[in-house]
Amino acid sequence: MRTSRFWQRPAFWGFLFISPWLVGYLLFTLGPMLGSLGLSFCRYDLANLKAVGADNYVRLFTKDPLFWKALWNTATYTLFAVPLGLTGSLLLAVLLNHKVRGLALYRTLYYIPSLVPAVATALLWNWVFNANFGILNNSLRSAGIAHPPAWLQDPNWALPAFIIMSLWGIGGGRMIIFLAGLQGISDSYYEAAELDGAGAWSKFRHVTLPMLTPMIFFNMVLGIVGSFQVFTTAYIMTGGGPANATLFYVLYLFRQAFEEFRMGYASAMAWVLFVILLAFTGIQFWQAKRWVHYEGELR
Amino acid sequence: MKWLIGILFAAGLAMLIWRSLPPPEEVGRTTIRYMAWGNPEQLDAEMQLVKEFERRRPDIHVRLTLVPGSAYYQKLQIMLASGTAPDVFRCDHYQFPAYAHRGYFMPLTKFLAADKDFRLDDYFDHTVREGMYKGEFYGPSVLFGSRVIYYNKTAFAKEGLIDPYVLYKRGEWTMDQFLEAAKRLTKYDERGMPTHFGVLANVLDAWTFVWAFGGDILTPDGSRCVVDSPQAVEGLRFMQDLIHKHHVSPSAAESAMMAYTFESGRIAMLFNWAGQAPIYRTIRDFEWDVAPIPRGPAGRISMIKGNQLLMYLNTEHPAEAWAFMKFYVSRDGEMILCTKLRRGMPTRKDVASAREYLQSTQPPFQNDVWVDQYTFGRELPITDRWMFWQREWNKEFELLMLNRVTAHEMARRVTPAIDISLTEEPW
Amino acid sequence: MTAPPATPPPRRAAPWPLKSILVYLVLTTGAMIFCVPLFWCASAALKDMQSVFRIPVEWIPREWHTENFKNAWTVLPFPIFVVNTLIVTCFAVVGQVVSASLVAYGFARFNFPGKRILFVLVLSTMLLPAQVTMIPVFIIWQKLGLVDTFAPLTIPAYLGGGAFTIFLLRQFYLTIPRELDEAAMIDGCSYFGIWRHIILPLSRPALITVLLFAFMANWDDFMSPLIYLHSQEKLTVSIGLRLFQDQYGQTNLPLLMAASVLHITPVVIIFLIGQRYFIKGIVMTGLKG
Repeated sequence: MRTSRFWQRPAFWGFLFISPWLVGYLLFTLGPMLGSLGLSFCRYDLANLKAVGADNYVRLFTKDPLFWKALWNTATYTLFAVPLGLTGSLLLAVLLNHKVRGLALYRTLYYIPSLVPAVATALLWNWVFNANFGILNNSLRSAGIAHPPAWLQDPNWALPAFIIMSLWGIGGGRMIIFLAGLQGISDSYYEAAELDGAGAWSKFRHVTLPMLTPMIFFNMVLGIVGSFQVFTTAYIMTGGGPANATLFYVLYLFRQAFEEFRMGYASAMAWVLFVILLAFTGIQFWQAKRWVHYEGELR
Repeated sequence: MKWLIGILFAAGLAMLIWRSLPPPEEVGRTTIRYMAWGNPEQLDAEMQLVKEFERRRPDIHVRLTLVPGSAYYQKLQIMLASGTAPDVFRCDHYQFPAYAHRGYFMPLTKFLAADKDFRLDDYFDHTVREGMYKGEFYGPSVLFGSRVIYYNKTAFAKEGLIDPYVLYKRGEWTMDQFLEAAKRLTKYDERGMPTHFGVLANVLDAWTFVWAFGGDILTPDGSRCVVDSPQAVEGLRFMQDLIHKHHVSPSAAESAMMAYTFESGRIAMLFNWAGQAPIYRTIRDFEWDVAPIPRGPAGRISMIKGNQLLMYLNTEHPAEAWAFMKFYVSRDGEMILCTKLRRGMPTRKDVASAREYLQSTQPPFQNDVWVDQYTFGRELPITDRWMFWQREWNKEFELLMLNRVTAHEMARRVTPAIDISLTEEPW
Repeated sequence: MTAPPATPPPRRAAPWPLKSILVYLVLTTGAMIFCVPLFWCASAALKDMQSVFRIPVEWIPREWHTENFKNAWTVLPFPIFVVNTLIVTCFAVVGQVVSASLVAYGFARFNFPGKRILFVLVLSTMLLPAQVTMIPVFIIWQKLGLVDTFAPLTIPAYLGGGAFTIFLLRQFYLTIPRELDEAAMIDGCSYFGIWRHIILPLSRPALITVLLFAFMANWDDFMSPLIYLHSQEKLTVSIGLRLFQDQYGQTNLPLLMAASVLHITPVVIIFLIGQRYFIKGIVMTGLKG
């Protein structure tokens, strides 16, 4: 009978393998996170620190209409940008997985937009969305629409403009992940399906999609987390306007923290977002059991 | 193969560590850190000043950090909050009172007392007043300037209009003349799309127009909002009419992100700060120069503002920091910055009247315009509540510029809201 | 175990079927729409401040200001910035790929007490906006005496490499059948050996993906260099690019576009090269019969 020394037990090895992350977490992350949680119960304006209990949270929920506006903007943006982006990048990945000539070039062309630095992107799209001379409105006018919207200067169209802008990046990281996932689907599955008489759509539905569910899940979780934290482009392009139409949550948070000296209030905002995102992520993980299919899952 | 990777890795590590070490030019000298914002041309200007200073004081090394303007205050705040701020740094006057209020700066009184060759009366009053907070002097003013009109001389001549400078010299450069010129300089193409606009101003010019018509937005001590006076409303309405009634200025939608710019020749008259002159020197298509703000019903006004050069309260090298600051605003320093590079208006009386400053080899040539600015210049009432009331104001002003509200309505609505945001946050 | 076939069986047999033509059509139309803004960027990079906003849009510039590229390179000390960014990025990428892969392996293949909670913690690090932890983290690095060095930009990569990469690789590893692990263990392989000989090779597309992401993230990182680097000669390319945009909006657009083009070139090159590894090369053999 072999005695199982602790360093032979799988659990020990599990800990060992994750230790780099654990060390980093304990050193650099846990402290600051708890610190900001504590700060959310204080007022800190870079010079004075005073504990105020749940004041910040109360004010956030009851006396700050901009908080709700920012939340609304961000939630709406997420509601559209994430599904559209996911579908777009999935379809693109499938298309770019065919053996056509110039495949490398196509993939690169679709990928480049996601590489352009934030400043250049912001200026570029400001130009595209220009009401009189931008490419977008010019094309719309040629297509017969006499009065295309004023996009970034119209409170009703500014957020849709950002959603459109987000679609420019569907050839980016998400698509790469889908591509990598598609590459990992063994041919034997397709062969088996073909033997059963499946056509292209059926193969897609019964082989491709299920095998891709881990990637879809991944992109969805991160997509939601990411789009709730949109900041740089809004900061550079519109500064939250017009009339707070593009005041995204993290932009508002940033302002409170670094422009209006309300670090405690900003921390409260951050933790509210944390709870929201935790809830979203938790729900997705819980629901994942129903539709995500892993080959090598631990039983 | 593994050896190669190992060697590469070690080499990479070595490079990382080597680059993290302090550079050789700092050995044996006192190093002070200086931080400012700017674009590449401005970096050049700062480097020149630093080199000149180091030439005179070989025992001091100034480590310059140029930070992108859009992220400057974020970096500064982190440095202040962690106690690692640079020895000398620049702060926009918009933010100066708010930071001074929190006690981050070293009061310069003892340096002024001890240093006999630095005299505050060498400097214009406004610039000294700017650097004071609650009676203490904290920082000389740098990158000082006033708001003027940059105008397209060629466009004026082509239209047969009298040059604004000539009108100004005659005392006839008024708001009416200004409006007339703007109308004549606005052009449309066959489709009815505007190709040229007469004038472009920005949100800051609300002050310009309100003042020109005799009103004010805040009281001079910055404690109350007074924009609901008839004169102020008149000024706001004039500004709104430029866009929506006379159509001589592009709307926000049209002017989004530089669709119409001065340098492309599509804006005939641009309201801007003195320090922007270097950018326009790259213009080759037409001739341009500067003119003062037109005279309104209440007389001549002009807006002036600078930035503060400040010393960190907890600096380890106060004497060296003071030496650098002194040089930056000395006659030699200002000759470089203001005369050679035109980065701003001089804060020193002797530089402002120097021949080299008044005569230049590149535009703007009409430098006597600057001289008047000191006389008619008015400061913005910036207090440590500046950032807060701006939010209210900008929101309403945006609606005004979008023509969704009348000037009268807007003034009436915004006054109580601003009064609230100007009051101290209860602690 | 049966030997793998000599070449992977071709997936689409007939030449030029309707499907291929359709795919070409969609891809080309899409690419053209996508690339219009890019084209404007590139043409703006060749103009000067006055002509960049001429109406109607000059797609092919009348005069080619190629000096913009030379200026973008020299007006700021870009060569130094590039060297800095390159060193930091390469170092961080290696760390991220290796450590994330180890950590993800731990989460995907082992059961240990508290695993669920720890994984939730991993994910939770992505949920809090960085703005509120910036100051405390900065203070930690400052106490370690490592501000104004490259340490804050590279060391975290070796400590797990970020929740994003860990999560990504864990998802991938969960798709690799456990039977392979078990077979290797029967052959006497250690856990580490399984990682090295089974997991790593089989997750090549995923690792390339992570490499690409890590490269991009570090190459583009703006926040960390901004707050941790004080010395001018240590700055990175992303900061250099932002310097082109003056605080009050007077941006020299052509110069900024030229600099951006230069900035994305390395990543594009890496992407073009890394593409080869996306081509199907993994064949799962003799498992499902």
